[in-house]
Amino acid sequence: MIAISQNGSYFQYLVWVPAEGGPLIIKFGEIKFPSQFNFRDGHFASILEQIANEVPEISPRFQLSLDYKNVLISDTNYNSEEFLEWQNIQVVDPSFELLYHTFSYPFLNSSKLLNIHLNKELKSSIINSIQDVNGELRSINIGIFSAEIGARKWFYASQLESYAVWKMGKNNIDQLLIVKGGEFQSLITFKRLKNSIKVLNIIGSNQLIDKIIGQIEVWINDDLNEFIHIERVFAYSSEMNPKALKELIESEINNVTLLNPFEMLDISSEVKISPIKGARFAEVGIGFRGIDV
Amino acid sequence: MFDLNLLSEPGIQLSESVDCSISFIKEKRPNPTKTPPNIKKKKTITVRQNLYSSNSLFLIIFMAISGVIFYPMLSNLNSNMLMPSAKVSQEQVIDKVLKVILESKNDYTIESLEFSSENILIHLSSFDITSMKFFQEKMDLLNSGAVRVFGDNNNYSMMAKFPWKITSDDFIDSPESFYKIVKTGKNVKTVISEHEIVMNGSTSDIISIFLQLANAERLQTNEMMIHSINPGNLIFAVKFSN
Repeated sequence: MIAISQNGSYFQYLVWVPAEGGPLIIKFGEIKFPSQFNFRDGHFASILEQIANEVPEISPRFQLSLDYKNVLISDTNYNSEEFLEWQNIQVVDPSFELLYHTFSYPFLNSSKLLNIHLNKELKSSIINSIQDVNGELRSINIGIFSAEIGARKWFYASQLESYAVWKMGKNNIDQLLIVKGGEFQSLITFKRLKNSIKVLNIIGSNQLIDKIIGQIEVWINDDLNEFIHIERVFAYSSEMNPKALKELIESEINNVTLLNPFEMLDISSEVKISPIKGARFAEVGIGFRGIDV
Repeated sequence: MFDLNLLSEPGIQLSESVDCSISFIKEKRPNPTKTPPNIKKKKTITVRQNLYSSNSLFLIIFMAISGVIFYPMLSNLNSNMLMPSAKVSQEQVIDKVLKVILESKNDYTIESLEFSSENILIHLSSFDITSMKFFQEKMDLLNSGAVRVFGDNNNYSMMAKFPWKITSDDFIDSPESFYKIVKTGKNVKTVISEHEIVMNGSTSDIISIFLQLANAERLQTNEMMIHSINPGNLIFAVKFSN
């Protein structure tokens, strides 16, 4: 299986095979597309081809995590087809439905919906690229949601009552995905300022957000021993030189774990990768969907 | 926790994890080094591809998120809701809107309230269906269906749409004319631009400003909008008329 995650023009890939002790990594790496990347014009097929050529003995079966910027995300307070239809008639431009697929995921006891809007042409371009390399596409996931699968599969997060996945991003703009009782709770986008946090967007429930954001502010300004409102926080960054992530890990907060798949998976090669660099591969979590590690 | 898989059929996803792969694997895979894929083949280029330029994409993301999340604010589109007949007077509508404002702390929360040149759109939320239904009956002026309640599992929303017209020509056309009528209070943050004045404050502070406008009979002079930004805080924007 070949798991790929996209972050702008960068593509991390990780190839694993089933082994007696669980998945065994046989190859991993990173490819940067030399110019402005888009999924059309053969760009993505070129990336797939390069990766497939690295492991010619492996069938080109891919699981893909897209950069979060490729989709639109919204939430709806009611889990009802009737409501969605009514809402669309009221407020959404008719051309939106022509251009976008909408996938709605129930959460909070199925009372609300998380909506992912994926451009139809983008999806077609991805499938065309898979066809170009005679490959197979098993699934398409999105950035931090893919990393959350990694937290569950590599670090057994599903055994926790609550946990958060924290992506430390470019220009100090981060995402925090909170899971409670095995259910999606909220997705927050915020900016780390010098002494405080500015919340930019909240999808889902407001519960816990103030408390967790408050504790991140404590970490920024002082020492934080432990996140007390959440059982564990899994942190990662896809940036080349994630200073803030290093600082967070060096803070030795009791219940913060670096979301580094190489810490938990067996690897066949001698190639070493530092923990912080390993965490750049967090979003290949989609490649481990549905298997026991 | 669900596993996203955007290869599945669009719509509400009933299963936490969906298996739906797309395969073009041939029985015997050609050696990729000998037969490179036709990645330069010309694909149909449509006008829509221009939407992928970064500026356009940013615009689309902004508009779509605004459209989907803040839909009540943007709802100047033709509605398929039945509208109350023209027999409903502006005074009756104002009376209903003031009730919405004054009772908002008791049984429900104001999500948004928009006075446009053609209608008033109201979006409220509540955890209590009984009070929501009761309020719906009070609001539904002619049992027209223009007031609807949605939701379940102790989380409900009420949408209402009333006819409205800007009837007075005693417009608020500048910050000066606004401040002749309204005292905003020291805890209200205000941003003034060429076309509007936007205030951010606690629910009670914003309601106070709204009531000052109502007392001065200026609700029918300008387009305005109230929107919730978090529990206990509202944004209030008044557009200057010329």
